[in-house]
Formats: sequence, C-alpha cells, structure tokens
Amino acid sequence: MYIMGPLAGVMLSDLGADVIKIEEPRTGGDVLRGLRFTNGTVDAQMPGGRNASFEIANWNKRSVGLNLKAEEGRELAFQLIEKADVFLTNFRLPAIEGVGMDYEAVRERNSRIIYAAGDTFGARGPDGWRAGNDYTGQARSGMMWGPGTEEDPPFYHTGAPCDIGGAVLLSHGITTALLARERTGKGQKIEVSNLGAGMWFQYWALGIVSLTGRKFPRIDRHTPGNPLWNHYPCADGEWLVLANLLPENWTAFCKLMELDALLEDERFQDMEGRRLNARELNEILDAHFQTRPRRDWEEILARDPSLAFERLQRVEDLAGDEQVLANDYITEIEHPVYGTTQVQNFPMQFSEAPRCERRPAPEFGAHTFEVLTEELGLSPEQISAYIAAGVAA
Amino acid sequence: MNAPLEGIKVVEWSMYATGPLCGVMLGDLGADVIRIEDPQRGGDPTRNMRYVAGITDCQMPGDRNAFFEVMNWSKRSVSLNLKHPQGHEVALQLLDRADVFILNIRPPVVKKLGLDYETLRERNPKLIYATASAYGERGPQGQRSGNDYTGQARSGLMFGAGSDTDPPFYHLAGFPDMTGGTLLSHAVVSALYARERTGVGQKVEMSNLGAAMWIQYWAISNQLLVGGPWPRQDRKRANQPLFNHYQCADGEWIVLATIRDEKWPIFCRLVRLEHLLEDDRFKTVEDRKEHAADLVAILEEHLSTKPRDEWEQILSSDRAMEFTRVQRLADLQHDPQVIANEYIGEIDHPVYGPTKVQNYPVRFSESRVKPRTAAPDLGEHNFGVLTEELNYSPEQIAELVSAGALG
Repeated sequence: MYIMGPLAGVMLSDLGADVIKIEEPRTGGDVLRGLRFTNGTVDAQMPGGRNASFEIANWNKRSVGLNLKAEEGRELAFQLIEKADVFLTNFRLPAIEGVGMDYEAVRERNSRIIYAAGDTFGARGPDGWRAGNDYTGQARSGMMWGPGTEEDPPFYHTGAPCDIGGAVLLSHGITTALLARERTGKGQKIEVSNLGAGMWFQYWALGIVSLTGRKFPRIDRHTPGNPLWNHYPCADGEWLVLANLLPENWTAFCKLMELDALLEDERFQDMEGRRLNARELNEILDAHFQTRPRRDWEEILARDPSLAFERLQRVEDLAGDEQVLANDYITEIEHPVYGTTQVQNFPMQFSEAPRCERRPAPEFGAHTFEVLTEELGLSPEQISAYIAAGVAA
Repeated sequence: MNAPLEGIKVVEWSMYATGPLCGVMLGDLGADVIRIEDPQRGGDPTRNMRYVAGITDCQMPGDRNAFFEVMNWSKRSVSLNLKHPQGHEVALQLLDRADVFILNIRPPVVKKLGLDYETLRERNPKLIYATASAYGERGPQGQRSGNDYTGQARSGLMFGAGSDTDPPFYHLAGFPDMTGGTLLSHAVVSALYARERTGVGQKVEMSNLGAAMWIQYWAISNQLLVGGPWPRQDRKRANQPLFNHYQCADGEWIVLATIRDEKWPIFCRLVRLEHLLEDDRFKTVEDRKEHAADLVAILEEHLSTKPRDEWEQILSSDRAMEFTRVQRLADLQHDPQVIANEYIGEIDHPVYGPTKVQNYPVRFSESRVKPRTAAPDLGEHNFGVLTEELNYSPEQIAELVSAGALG
C-alpha cells in the first residue's frame, strides 16, 4: 500500500509484467484510495471518487479483493502465488505474519518465487519493527540537511525521494533476482528499506563523508565553493543554474558574459582563488545576472557547448518542456474517467522493447472475477459464493 | 548462490558519477568491470577534483581522491588512447568480448571515435549498450552537456524543499546522478534478463533529466493529474501538523510522520496533550489543516520542553507511531540500525586501511554480493587485462605503450 511497494509494481508492469494487486475488502482496499491529503499540500481527490495518488501508484494493475484473514481468502491468494514469479509486499512484518504470508510460508508453496519486501528501517536492528514512511526515511538518512544553509532548519522534500528510491531499488532487486533465477533455477527473498534507499540516493555525499571523515557543511549560495557551480536570479526574477566544474570553463564563461575584466583580476585567477574569494565574486555575478532576463543569458551561454547551465524549473513546468516531451518522459493516455491525461513514463528507453502503454489504476476489486476465472479456473458460482461469504470482494 | 552477474563482462567508458555508479552497482552484483580512461587527460577528471560543489576537500592520502574512489570501487583501469588507431583497436577487441558497454560521453564524441551503437552492434549483436546523457538523446538539448546540478534545476527538484519565501535550493546529495546510475544499472540488468530469454542485445538509454524526474515521481505524477502549481511547504504552517518536524529541548530535530487520522488521539495521549482532543479547532484532519499554524505553534512549544531522546522513548511505546530522528550524514556510520542492516560495511583498503563503504542497498537471501576492493590507479590493469583478456604478449604491450596507444 501507499507508494514504495505499489510504484515498484508499476515499474515491473512498465517492463511488461502482469501485476495483480491483492486488496483488503474490510478497509476498502489500499488506504491511498481514500487519502485526500498525504503530506498535506495538495488535495488528491479526483472526479469519479478516484484519487490521484492511488492512480499514479497503481497504473496497469488488476485489483482482486481478498480477505486474507479468512482461511479461504488466504488459500486463494496462495493459489495465485503458486502461479506467480514475484510476490511484492511492503506491509510490516507483524501484519504479514498475521496472515501467514511470510517468506517461509510463501516459499513452501512456490520454491521459484522472488519474494520482495519493502519496509521502513530495514528488518534487522533496534528499529526493524517500527512503522514509518518516506518522511522517516528522509530524516533518518541525513537527507533533510541536504538543501539550505547552516542557519536554515532541516527541510522536508515534497517529491518523496525515499519512497520512490525504495520502489526503484525493489524493481532493480526483483529484476536482478529474476536474472539470477534464469541462470540458477532458484528463487529468493530480496529486501529494501526507506532508510537504505535514502542513503543510496545520497551515495556521493555519504561516500565522501565516510571516506574523508570531513564535515559536509550545507551550502550558502552567497559563499559557494565554486561560483560557477551556483544559481543566480536574473532580471525577470527567474533563476539560472551554472554547473561548471573544470578550470577551463572560467575563461569561456567570462568572455561570453562580457566579464573580461575578471580574467585580469588577481583574486580569481584559479579555482582556489575563486573558492577563497567566493563572496566577492558571487556579488559581482549576482549584480551582473540582474541586468538581463533569463532567456537572454540562456542564449548567450548556449554559444559555447562546453558550458553547463540550466533554467530552474518548477514541477508544473515539465509538462510544457519540449525536451521532456521529445524524450517521452511525459506522455498522454486516454483515461476512461479523466479523458486525455498526461502521465509520467518509465524513465529508461530500450531499443528492442516497446514502451508499455499505461492503463488506468483499477477500481477496487475490478478484476476479482476475471483473475479468479482466468488464473485459477474458478466458476462464476464459486466466485459468487466466495463474495457472499466475505472471502472475496 | 553465486553473485547474479558472475561472469558478465562490463566495459565502462565514463566519467564523474552517473556512469561510474552504474559500474559500481554491476560490480557489486558480480560483474567484472573494466574502465577505459584517457591517458592524455590523466584519466577521469574526478581523480584530481578536490572541490566539487566546492565545500568538502576530496583529497586523500596517497594522492588519491574520495570522489573518484567511491565511484570506482572494485574496477580495473586500462588507460587507452582512443584517438590512436591501435588504442582504438584494443577497445574494439575488449568490446567484442563484452556483455555490457556503459558510457556517459556525449554522442558527437562517441560517434567521432567510432564507438556508436550501430558500429558496435554489427560486431557484437549480443552487446547491451547503456548510455547516460544529460537531457535524453532526443529533443533540442539532446547533444548538450550537463550534470547533476542541471538535472536538479531542469526537473523542478530545487523547489522541492523549503517554503515559498525561500530561494530554490541545490541539494547536496546528488539525486539526479545517483538515481541515474541506479536506473542505468536497473536497465542493464533488465536488458541482460531479456537477452537471457531472447538472445538479443540492445541499447538502453537513461538521462539525468529523466532520472531527476523519476525520483520525484510522487510530486510530478500527482501534479500532472491534479494540475495547478505544486506548492512548497512551510513547516510553520504544515497542513498536517503531525506530518512535520520539530526542534526538541536539546536543539535536535524529530520528525513526526503520521498520515492516518486515527493516529491523532494516540499521539495526543502519548505526549500528554489530551486536552487537544477536546479542542474544536483540531477535531478532524480538515480542522487541523485549517488551524495548522495554531497547532504547529502548540506542538513546537510542547516538543521543545524535552530532549529528543525522551520524546523518542515516549513515542516508541506505540508500535504504529511513525517518527524518527533527523540525522546528519556523518551520524549514519554510528547508527545501530544502519549497521545491523549492513547499509554501511567495512573493507581493508591497501592505502587507507580499514575503510567504511556504503554497500549495495538491496539484500538478497541467496545471491552473493561481491565484496568491494579499492578503486584502481590510472592504467593499473593495462598489463593484466591485455594479457588475460586479449592474450597480448609483453612485447606487444610494450609496443602499444611506445606508440602512445596505451598510457
């Protein structure tokens, strides 16, 4: 439920897998279906009683309502597992054990299964039992000190990087285990956590901190270590990022920007000088960028392909960004309830595999009938009996 | 069980972070990773890059570099001059035998050196050719250079933290590069799996921009559906005050991360704020959203009365309460939870001695993950690779060196 497990399912479906989502009838299915405000900023309520957050985490899937607390419901789930290649869950271990679907039990029914478990803090250790989510992953992994200066409070990141990162790692781990199974014939369990994901997606910063033992101070954009690796507001209030790491970028930059005088300035002769005199140089560049709107600077800097720079966009700018569209990072589908709808596409392109077409997230239990007949060969009468008994929904 | 990629041969021609991290991950999974580096430029630029974002010195003892080291664990380095015909020929021989080729070099450079996909596929149809670009290979910026910072800017990531009155923020972690390396590694494994089933190699593409968008999937995909601006969040007026972070009496921060309505009474009882349960301003999620500033102020004051340790103990008494401490990166190697799950491990490094390394983040119950070894010196494995992989004689190697094809 929520995001980490479900998005891993979306990624596998993007790669062509048939994903069946088991949902609990007594709670109305995945809690995300009814959650209007998750981190509190945006209302996820959509037309038709649907929910945007649930939708994006459940494209392409089929939903089967099964009461896992009832023995017959659990048995139906196990019969689906017997025919499955992958079992994916991000429920907490006590909940999983409560319905008898831990790895040992599942493996007993299907020894080739890839059992993929996502949790918050990792299954071992003092906090292995505790509940949590993306936010606790951000906090625990050091991520919240990433943006801002030493004077700022820590920041929460609204993109949910620990949940998304966890989903990416689950999908990566599952694909790897499928490959290993292809080569050895054996299934296995793989485990991923929000904390581990939060750490992994800071690999660079964390690696340098552990290796050097040096502090990793937060950055104040007024005193950057390298003023050509910094962002500047332009005359129209829009921001431009300079992202240049090499010493030779300096000369090209100054010439294009008509700041040739700086090339003669003793203080800024090399990387070390520009680092030590960053405040002064930053003030000069701040004032200079204020003299023209961003699109002018973009045109000027584009004349030298060796310079890296970029406009600072907001999330809502992406759907109109021609680079984004040209690479199919965002694409359109026809949604039965919303009509023409933009969706975010699988981020990798394969030359030989077609792109999977996104299908809408399922209504709760929409495929109970279809899946139980097609996959398990049940008759309509049997299914109706299960539904009447509260085993399926 | 062996490592999943045991016996897989990877050739990596890449710099900085995205391509190299992909190589590290494939190496962790058991692949043999050979880096091609340009001897004329002293190899990967990060070998000599002391300040990147400019804040922390990456210089290490033995004239080594921390940035380069963490991005190149366990690899072998061959210093080949690709502009020299004989150097180029050696590269082609290595690629003829390879399963995977990773590169994050701009397409015009790749084409000029004749290492483009069409050329290599002709020679080795089973090759997985994996590219990382800055903006994706199509579109108006398809040929342009860029990096983690441009990925952060273009993708909206820099407005993800802070409130509307804050400037945009650069995120130190390197999200686009790290996500890019991880997704590229995912794509390679997926393509190897597809090859196992179909016998066909292919090209897989991934970009910094695409990766930076994917790691914000929740925000971006939600915004595409609900429309309108995606607001930044001010913690003083967090719409869900129980999904917010607070400073405790000792100056340390704690995160409350509860989403579901039923946690409200549990929380109030645990922290002895029962009277809030009677307060009409805070009855439902909607009420608490409407009076968020009031409630945040009350919680701020209350949580500042005890040090963080005490709050952690109090909140721990309910198993379903979501909360945790806000740590710094340097805290992680001492965190018992991190150690118990082996997210950070230790290796014996030939130059540094016992050294902490961040392990591959997925735990496999059966597959072995390969232990890390030190990053290679430039050209350290010229002799080993050319003799073992390509059966060159010492005389032939010496000739390549004197011709300037091998550095």
